[in-house]
Amino acid sequence: MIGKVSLSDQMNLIYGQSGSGKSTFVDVLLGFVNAPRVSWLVKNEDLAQLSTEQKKLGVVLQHGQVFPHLTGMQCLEFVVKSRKVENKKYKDDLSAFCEKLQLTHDKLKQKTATMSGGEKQRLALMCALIGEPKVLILDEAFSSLDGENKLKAIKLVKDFSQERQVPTIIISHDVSKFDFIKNQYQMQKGRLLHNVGTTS
Amino acid sequence: MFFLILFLLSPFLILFFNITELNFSLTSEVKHVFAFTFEQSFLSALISVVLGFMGSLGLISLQNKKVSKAMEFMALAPCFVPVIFVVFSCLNISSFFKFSLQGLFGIIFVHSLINTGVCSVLFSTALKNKIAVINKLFVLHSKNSFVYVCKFILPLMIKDIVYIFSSVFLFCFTSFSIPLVIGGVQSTTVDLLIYEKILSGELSLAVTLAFVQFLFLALILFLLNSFKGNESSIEVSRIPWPRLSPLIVFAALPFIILCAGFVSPMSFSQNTSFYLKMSLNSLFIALLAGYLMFMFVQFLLAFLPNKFLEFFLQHYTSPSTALTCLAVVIFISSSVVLKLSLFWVYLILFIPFLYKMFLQSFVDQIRPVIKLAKTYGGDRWMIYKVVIFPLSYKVTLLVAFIAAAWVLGDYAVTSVLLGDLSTLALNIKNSMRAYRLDESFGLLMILLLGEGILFIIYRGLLKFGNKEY
Repeated sequence: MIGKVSLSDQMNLIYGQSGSGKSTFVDVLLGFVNAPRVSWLVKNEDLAQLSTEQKKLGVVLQHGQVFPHLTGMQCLEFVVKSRKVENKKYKDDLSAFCEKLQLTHDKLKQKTATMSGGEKQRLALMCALIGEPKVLILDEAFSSLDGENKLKAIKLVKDFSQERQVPTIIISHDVSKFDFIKNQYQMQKGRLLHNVGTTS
Repeated sequence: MFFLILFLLSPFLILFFNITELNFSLTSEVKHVFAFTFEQSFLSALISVVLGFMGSLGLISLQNKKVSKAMEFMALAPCFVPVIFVVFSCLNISSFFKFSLQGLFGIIFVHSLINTGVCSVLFSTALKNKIAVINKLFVLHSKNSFVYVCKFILPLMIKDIVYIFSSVFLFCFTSFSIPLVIGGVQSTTVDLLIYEKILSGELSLAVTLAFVQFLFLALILFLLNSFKGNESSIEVSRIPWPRLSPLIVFAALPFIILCAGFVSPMSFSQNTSFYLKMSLNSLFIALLAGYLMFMFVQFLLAFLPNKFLEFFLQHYTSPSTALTCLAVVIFISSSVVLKLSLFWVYLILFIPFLYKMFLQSFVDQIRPVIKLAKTYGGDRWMIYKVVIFPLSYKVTLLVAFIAAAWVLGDYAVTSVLLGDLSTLALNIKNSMRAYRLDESFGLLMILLLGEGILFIIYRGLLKFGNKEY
């Protein structure tokens, strides 16, 4: 479908109209779609050969999905326990992310079912960042956020990606807030076009 | 997962390995039984589908959502209450109006009573998916309700009609508990004949009958799966013909008959300790069956979502009661273990139906959540503990409660595997067969009390779950 693609080891933006194949591309990367001939090399490791759990990805799925029956804190603890993140590092990151995303500890103690769309999306982003991911995949991760929160969330992702050297793939139908990303790809009928027009 | 599928298929596998003992001398008795079973199933399915279709037009014409929900509940109730209540109600009504319920007429009457309502609900669901298209055609071409139904609704519903007809036919063809009470000498069905051959020790003939029945049912199943109506995403709306709403009577009538037949004088012929012992025994069996059902469903859900397992469960239909019991009787020689195998049979008989009714849609709901848990790096155990168990607790409890309620009222499986009169339902069956309706009603009241206790336990566990999860 996509052919050979070299994404940058920093930030990448994939955009395209609905139905262009963005979500299928994400499902292939996550390992939910069986694609036996795909290889995905990150720092000389073929992630396509690993199971979804072993890939150690930081993911925000469409609509900022979080566990509907848990509190915000329980969602974060699920990631931390799954990824065996050190307690001290977890607490440090938690405070930093809470401050930058303007989510209070009290808010995180609430069930996610009572949170607004924007709060859920910020929580989903925290879950993606807190598990020490090898790669970040953010599928429409900022769509429910209002102006200020959106800018803060994008800045957090940008800083996180640069400081910790985590390759990041942002999937969005709206490119207006991502001018700073040099590596932009357009998804068109299942094909990935580099910087519009040139196939990479 | 492999063992799960093996477990559900075990009756067929056991029979398959005993096929060497096949006795192909199909006597006139066997031919008559097959012809009778076909006749009663065909007529029962035909009546249920015709009345159910008319009921569905009424159901879908209702404008008030609450009334519509209440009517759906009334329509489904005869299918979900233990069969013993329906059979008693019918016998009581026949006794009051002085007509005989024995034989072909009785079997068709009870089968239709159970299936008409559920057909109405199934047809109305299928109709809702097509109604938007129908509305446009209706406005364009016709303003007469008869033309509307014949010209637009029926052609669009052919696949659904064949599918629902085959489902009901399948149910009636493998019906065991109803002919066991109201079938006479000339009204033996295949399942009943298998049961009689088990009791008389003619196992090779029983295996032959089960094998022929299986082949026949496999053919129906093939038909069923190829005619399954397609789900459409068209927006739901009501049909523009409110005058069809009185047809709701066809969907609700079985429930009204069921309630009307539940008025009777009662008597008790034994002492209290006898009833107490029997009631506790029945309750214990029902609770244990409910508990095992809960554990089994949880075990099943731990493997889901899984494409292969889901495909299997969607297309698999449980074997008939007699066939399953026969497989168990062949497989287990010890009488003590045979009594315990009761629960094995219940699981095999109930799981396919309950999965399609309650669990399939639940699995679709939790699919994205499990996907999320996997991306977060959760292993199988963690996903089960933190995600699947808390989310599935309520639906599993409901399934377990329904199974326990059915087991409490079951006299079909226990007739084969227990044989003695150690449960309430078995005693009720015997008194109903002897037309001792006063005594049956007394025992049914105790059974109803038992169902009440099960419901209280279910509510308690649900409340506990609401606090915990």
